Amino acid sequence: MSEQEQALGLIARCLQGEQIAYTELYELYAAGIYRLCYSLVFHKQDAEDVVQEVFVYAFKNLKRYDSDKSAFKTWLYTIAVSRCRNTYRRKRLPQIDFSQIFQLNIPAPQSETPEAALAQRNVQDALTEALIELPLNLREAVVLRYGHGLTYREIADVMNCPAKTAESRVRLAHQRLRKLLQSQGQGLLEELLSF
Amino acid sequence: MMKYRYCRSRMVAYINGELPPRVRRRMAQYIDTCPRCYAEYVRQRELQHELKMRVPGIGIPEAGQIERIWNAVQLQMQQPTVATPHLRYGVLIAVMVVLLMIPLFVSQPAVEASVATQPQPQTLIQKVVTPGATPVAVVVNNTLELTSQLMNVTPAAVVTPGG
Repeated sequence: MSEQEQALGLIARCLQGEQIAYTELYELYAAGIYRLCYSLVFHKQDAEDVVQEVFVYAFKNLKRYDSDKSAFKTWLYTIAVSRCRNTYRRKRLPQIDFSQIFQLNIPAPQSETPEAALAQRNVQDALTEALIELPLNLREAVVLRYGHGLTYREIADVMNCPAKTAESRVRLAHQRLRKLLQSQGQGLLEELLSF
Repeated sequence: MMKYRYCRSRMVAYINGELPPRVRRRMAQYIDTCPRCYAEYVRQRELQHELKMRVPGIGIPEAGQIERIWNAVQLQMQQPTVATPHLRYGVLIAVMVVLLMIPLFVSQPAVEASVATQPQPQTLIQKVVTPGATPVAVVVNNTLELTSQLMNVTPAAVVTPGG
């Protein structure tokens, strides 16, 4: 059973008033929505608030979801991106939660030496900092594409723009990321590309 | 240089397999023959690979975080929804304009529209003086107007303008 079919089944049960179905629907998407929100606002508390808003809105408006227009995941992502934009606008200067950024738990291979682990951490930090530097629309495009594997059509639906625009935003994000990583040191870029 | 520019602008789409076959063949040819294009291809492919591998690692929720948010969602869901009237912006603006215009109509002196009148010709007033008597008549607009004490005045005593 595909994710969408599973979601449609749960939605039907939710609309019949089955409380456990809401829990199951939340569990199916919560982690992904949190990752998306955190990657856009880069602040733990803000991301939590947005996730809460997204699910409260979605559950209260479940009747309005039209499965013919988009997948449930795309609908949730659209709400999440819109709420993240509101949060971003409210706080023009986003409060970056560096403590969270630098404590990313990347599973390390067993044979990894401390030097290699440090290099991995540096690369991840550099990439995260580069993402923070990106303009919001490019960040949205690159996070949806590479963080969540959405197609250009789906990205376009979520970002409310034509598919070609979504494609060009991903391309622009690529170019910017390369420049940003180069500005942090050629060595770091080489290191990033060597893994 | 032309080949490199052509390749660079289409490289991401090429790696994602999103180009039409004709452009794709041309790109492949350039990548095979131009070392700079090949280097660009390798860099972009590696960057894309890195992004696919590392971006999903950003913002993985901590243990208990998802449950904490769920509790907050449930609390908020239990709260009764306050029905707020959905005002259309146009209606709202119209109401505000009416409210702003109220002071113009209230406590304002009534303004009467007056029809423009033709100015009167210059009036020539000349006193008719009789010795030992107060002025008794004036000529206004070639019309004899009596004011008082007409008894000692004869028409001959009236001096007309220019006369």
